[in-house]
Amino acid sequence: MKASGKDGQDGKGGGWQELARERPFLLRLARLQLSSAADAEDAVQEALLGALKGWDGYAGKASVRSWLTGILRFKIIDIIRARRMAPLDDAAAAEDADGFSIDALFTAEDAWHPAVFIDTVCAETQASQRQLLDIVELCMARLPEQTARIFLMREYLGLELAEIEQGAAISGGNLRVVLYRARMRLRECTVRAWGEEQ
Amino acid sequence: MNDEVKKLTCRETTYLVCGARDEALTPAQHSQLARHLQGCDACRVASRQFADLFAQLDVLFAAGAGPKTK
Repeated sequence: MKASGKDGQDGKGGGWQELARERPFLLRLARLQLSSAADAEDAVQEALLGALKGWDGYAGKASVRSWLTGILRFKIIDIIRARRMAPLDDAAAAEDADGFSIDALFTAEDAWHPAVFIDTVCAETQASQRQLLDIVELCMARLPEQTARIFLMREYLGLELAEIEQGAAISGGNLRVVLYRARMRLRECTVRAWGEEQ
Repeated sequence: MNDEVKKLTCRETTYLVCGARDEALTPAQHSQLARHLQGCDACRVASRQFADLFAQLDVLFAAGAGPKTK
């Protein structure tokens, strides 16, 4: 057996099945990042076809999902760089349509509010690594659309702040606010889920 | 002057913990943060929660597998 990431099936047919299994995850990721559903489909399809071409060389060091996630990243960056990104809505830095409020997490003195602070840490949960990643993915899907787009440019695509500022026509200050709010929302969502897994 | 380092609030602590994901903290920010964490149970917990969350994001996004420049 060559590698742990492969299931032992060799040849294009077997490879395609394993790759195609990750399609829904990749599509969710691409849709969070690309506003056009057609672009997302194209990026995922190209990533899968690219992976299929390289299947024989895939060493199985990473999981198939990790490997594909890395390939998809290049495809998405290509699409984003090839076109002018839609400027970020001015309201994005403050978007809280679902009622999430950072102010509510803190007291008037800006200390964590004891009534709402959740102190569950990940190590106390019974969740498997896969379940923990599913939680992060679910929480990410709940981010407001524009926040998710910016957040993923940074966290997934790894673009530098300056490039995001330029590409999304957002000021440095607003960009930092959007990233901060995204991380605060994600923390709040994941620690709640960890509490349920205890 | 630096001995009179401003004490951080918990909220300001979250700015630094989150911001450090994008830009390295200055030595002064590091010591402000360390000093606050030393005396604040909730921020120590929150900071651990953030660290776990960020580690999971790195796994989810296969950090290091692509052209990431962080």
